[in-house]
Amino acid sequence: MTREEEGALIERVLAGDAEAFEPLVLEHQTNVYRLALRLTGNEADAADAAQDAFLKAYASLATFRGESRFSVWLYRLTNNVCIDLLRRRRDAVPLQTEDDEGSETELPLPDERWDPEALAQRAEDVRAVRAAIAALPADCREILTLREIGGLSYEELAASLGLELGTVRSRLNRARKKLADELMKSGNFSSAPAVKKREGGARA
Amino acid sequence: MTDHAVYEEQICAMLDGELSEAEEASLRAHLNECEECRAFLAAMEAVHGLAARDLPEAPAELTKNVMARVRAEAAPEKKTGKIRRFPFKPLAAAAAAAVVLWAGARIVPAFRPKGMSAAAPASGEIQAYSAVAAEEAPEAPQMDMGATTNGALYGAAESAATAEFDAAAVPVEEAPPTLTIRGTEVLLDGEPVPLTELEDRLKETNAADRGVELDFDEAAEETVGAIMDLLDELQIPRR
Repeated sequence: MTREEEGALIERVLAGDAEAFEPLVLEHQTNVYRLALRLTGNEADAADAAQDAFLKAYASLATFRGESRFSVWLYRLTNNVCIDLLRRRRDAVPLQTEDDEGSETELPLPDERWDPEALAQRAEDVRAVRAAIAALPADCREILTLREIGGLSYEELAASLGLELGTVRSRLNRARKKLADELMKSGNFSSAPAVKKREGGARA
Repeated sequence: MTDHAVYEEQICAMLDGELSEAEEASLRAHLNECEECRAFLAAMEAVHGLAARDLPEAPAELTKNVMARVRAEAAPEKKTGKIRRFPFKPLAAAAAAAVVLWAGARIVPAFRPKGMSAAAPASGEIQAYSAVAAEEAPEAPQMDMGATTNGALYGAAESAATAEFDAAAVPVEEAPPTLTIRGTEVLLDGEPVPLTELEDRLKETNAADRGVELDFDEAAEETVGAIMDLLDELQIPRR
């Protein structure tokens, strides 16, 4: 769907044509659902969150300015719906929001921290990937999924998440390193070349 | 972590296609000379795009459930009674374009989707959610089509008409002007009025007190919808 077609549909919805919303839902339901699935970690919550996201989008469609892409607006809405859902479920356990100013100690980077072959192997294990993403800090998971599922550019990420461009870069970098860490943690690599153990890190 | 933090970020950005040509050229030059960074690049390539891989399609009922709710919300807004009596021309693309002027105005008000209940069970939630949400659907604005009292107030939902209503409006004896819609063209007392001017003209002619006579015989559906919303907003009774 082109941006013009999307804009035309949105205008029709705003003019009172509810049916015009359906092609918009169909166009974006896959990404909305997948985002929700990664962010909530389970299919039932994801289905609820996706539905709620679309309904909220419908209700607040008049606030969509058309300056950003509709998808960006919608995925940001989806992200917020998921955040709310998780908050309610976990009884006010605060979301991890480690900032990038070095509040966490970075381990030095040994040469063989990540073996690309081992990583690629782990990446084939869908469940391992799912668990690894679920184990990421919330801000990392959020930016990673918006980038890779939502397809947001760095600028769009900065605008949507209220971050500096530099923070977008560093957070994405941190997210991917942690993802690699989690993936490596999740398997035994008897067949892979020896990987240096991380300092103080225990194998899962 | 020294310069390599910067290179790491650049490597990630390169894989995301976010590096300028100059930055990329300079990074590649560095990669030629730095094994550690090459290893990092290989590792990042292995995990790049992983978050988007091997994911299921959306559940089949998602669109259906969303649209069921959307239609339920839209239905009370559909102007019943008078409008249904008029034959409508099929949607024209031009009609949609003409209505763009009101894109900023609220059109779908008073819809509050129910949030997730913390107690919701883990399975079979989609149906349960739809049912519960339907119960809580707020009342749509009631339109009193037969209003003969001057300045009759329509029951408005919270997010509805923002126009201020002068409760002390004096009843007026003047005959109401006729608002005609032909296709996407709007005429006030037979005179074509550009949509941009319509609101002002209606205010000028004191339509809020006099009301308007509607002639929508040949109207394009969306123009009707938009005009009706405008009339709601300005609190103009139909005669």
